[in-house]
Amino acid sequence: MRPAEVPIGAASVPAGLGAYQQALWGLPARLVWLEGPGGQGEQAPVLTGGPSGLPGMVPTLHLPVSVPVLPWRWAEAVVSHAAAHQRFGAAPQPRAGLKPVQQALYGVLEDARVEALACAELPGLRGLWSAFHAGPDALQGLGFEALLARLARVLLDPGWHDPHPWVEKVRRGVQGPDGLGLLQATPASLRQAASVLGHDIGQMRLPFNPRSYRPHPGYRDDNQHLWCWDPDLPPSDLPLQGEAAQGRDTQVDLQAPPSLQAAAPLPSEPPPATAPGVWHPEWDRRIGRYRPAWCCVRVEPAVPRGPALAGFPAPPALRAALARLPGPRQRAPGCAREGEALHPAALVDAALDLRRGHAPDPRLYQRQRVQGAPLAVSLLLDASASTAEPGPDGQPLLAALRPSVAHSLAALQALGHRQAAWAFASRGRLQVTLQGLKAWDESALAPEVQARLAGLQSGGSTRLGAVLRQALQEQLDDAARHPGWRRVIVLLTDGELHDIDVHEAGYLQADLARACREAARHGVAVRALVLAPGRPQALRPCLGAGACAGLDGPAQLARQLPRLLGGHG
Amino acid sequence: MRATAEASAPCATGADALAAWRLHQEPFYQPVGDEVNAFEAAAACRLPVLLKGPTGCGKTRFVEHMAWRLQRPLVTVACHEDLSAGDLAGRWLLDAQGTHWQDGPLALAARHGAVCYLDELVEARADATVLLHPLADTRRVLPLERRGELLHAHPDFLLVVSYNPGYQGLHKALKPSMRQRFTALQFDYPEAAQEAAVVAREAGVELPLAQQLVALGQRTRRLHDHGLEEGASTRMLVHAAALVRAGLPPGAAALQAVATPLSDEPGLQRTLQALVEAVFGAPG
Repeated sequence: MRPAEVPIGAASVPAGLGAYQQALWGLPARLVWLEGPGGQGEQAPVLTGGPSGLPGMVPTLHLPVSVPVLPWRWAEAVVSHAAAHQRFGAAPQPRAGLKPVQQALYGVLEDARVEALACAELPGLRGLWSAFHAGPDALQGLGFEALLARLARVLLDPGWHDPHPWVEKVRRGVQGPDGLGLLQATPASLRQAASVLGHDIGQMRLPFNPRSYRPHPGYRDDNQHLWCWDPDLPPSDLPLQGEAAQGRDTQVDLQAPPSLQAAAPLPSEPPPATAPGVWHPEWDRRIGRYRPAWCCVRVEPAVPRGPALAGFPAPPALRAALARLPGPRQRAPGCAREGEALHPAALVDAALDLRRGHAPDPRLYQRQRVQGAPLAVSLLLDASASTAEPGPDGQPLLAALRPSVAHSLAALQALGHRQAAWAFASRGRLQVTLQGLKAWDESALAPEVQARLAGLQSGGSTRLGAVLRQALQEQLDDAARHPGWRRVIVLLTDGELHDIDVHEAGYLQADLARACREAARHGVAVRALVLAPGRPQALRPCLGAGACAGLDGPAQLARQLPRLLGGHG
Repeated sequence: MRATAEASAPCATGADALAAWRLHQEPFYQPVGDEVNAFEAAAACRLPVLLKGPTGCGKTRFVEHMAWRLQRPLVTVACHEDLSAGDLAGRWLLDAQGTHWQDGPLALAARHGAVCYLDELVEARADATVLLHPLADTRRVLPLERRGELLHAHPDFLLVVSYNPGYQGLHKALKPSMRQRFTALQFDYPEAAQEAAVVAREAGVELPLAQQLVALGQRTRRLHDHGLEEGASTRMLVHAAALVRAGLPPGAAALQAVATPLSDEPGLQRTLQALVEAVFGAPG
């Protein structure tokens, strides 16, 4: 069963709505809360970025939060209506030549056109939208806004008849005798119709306030995206700061709470002479070769700043899911009903039984050894500045990642797998840092490990290629001491590759892809859990399609980590 | 190790050893490109074929169709993580008269000249895949070490394997040493009109219903970046259409055959259900 309401107040709109929006027509769009002034009446949803978006700008749908609750079906209606605009809408038009009444009418007609085209592909949407045109909340009466609402209903629902002469005249005008007119209409033809029919209703001298007008029913956005920008217009409901709040800029925001300021990138410092690093090459895709000894990686223990994290041992669901992975099991000598080779002693016994006229024991084969060595897992935790930003549950990403790492380590340890963990960040190629959270032979439940995790702070950037090479070296060192384990490196990150001395898009991604291939050549698999709002597809070109998974929150860990470690579910 | 041909086959009884594997009716397959010619060319050259593509897009049906076109039996093996070399090659069995050798499906196909289709090969154990090496190159032999036999493949033997690059378990990628022995054909879901025709034909439903199901299927495939491992396959859409033909309302059939099986994750379930309602309307 679907929940009835959308939880308001979460840091980001529930991912299910975004997935629904993108699945409808495969068009990119962001969904964010509309942070308007509260208590000033209902707000309309706002679609920015135009139907198909401006160059370099992702269309964004802003959902109002001024209503007490958002029913899921209402939210789906908002999202699907905006998606219809994206899919079937046209470029913004100039307002010149149309009076406010005609502009409002054009908005209703354009809404009806994109909805008719959407319903032709997805007929179920008509039922979703129609529910909001009827019922007690539907506008009634003979005012201009009520007539527009009545027109909107009659244009959406072919089975609905409205007795008002003007509504009927518009319906006949745009739908035509065969009822298919909206499917064939163009924005230009609808603008012409709005001009003529709007003039008609203008003669009725009905009051209309364009400043307070909002389209009905409420799932429809404010239609500002239909028009070219006009500096003389009253301001939209959309506060400008809403865009910036969603950005991924790593600059210090002086208006941010103190906790976020502290998490901003630290000024660069030269590495201490007493802490020499390990030099790794880096792949430069522009010249098509490695730059030798290009990145300096320092491996240092994280500072335990306690108190230790709570909530141990690992959640039963995670432990149960990981228990299905191949692991250290007992090799059992003896006989089995099925196998590769016959068991000589069992054959002798069977022959004796047959000669005595007894049914032989069916266990005639040598018991097979259990396939699959246990795992040796390196968890690499992203501690860059972007992990200070709020995740889906409102708390900083790093705070959400900490228990995920702790639970994973505890569960893997309980099941007999080897595990180690580091946190990583960088401040240019000469200052890539891996902070040791847990060594291979350390207990995952040791207070020191928990204190190191608890003391971790965000800062710096994300240079995954160098990090991965160092982690690979750590894996190979451990493999020399403990051969026979299946080795895998798991990145827990928001997936945003960036460093202060890299200005070329795709440079770090190309290096990461190279580093993954180096790991594969050594038989070490690389996997990534990408914490929302980061998206796994950002790393898929580097790691491979099956090697990345999204993580909307720690609760998903039990589902995603075993899938990554064990393959598909 | 002795070399054998079909005449000395341990299980040849005079009757057709592959009778159970022969296809008596043409399996329906709608070509989407030049894959039929490509497969026939590989068969003529006795080159093994690797089929890549998502689950339920028609790989297995294509192999069935090609086996029927070539008039060869088809031996199919669904590979899994416990599939061993012995499962493919064969093993000794015990009966009242003592031990006797029984060919595995690969040995059976190689000995008597069948198409051997190993579905999802990367799932098999390493010892099983290594067994294919001498069979998949110019030697075309299968060493049956436990029997002391070097089996030379029948001229009509053709090795076909499939795998899905979209999901691979840890350390389960196809190794270059195996990959480079095969010619390969890339499969994907057909474009909408073709897929609707396939769904209508397979399930025996009207084309408009099939088109609606395909519209739903295409939308589920866009959820890959939102955590859905794979969207609805053509096979799932056929199942949904079959349920409608059996009397279920289309929305209920799509929920049962598509939305509910695709994911256990509550958020994705909610999205999938909303997509079903966008296509077929809300229940009731």
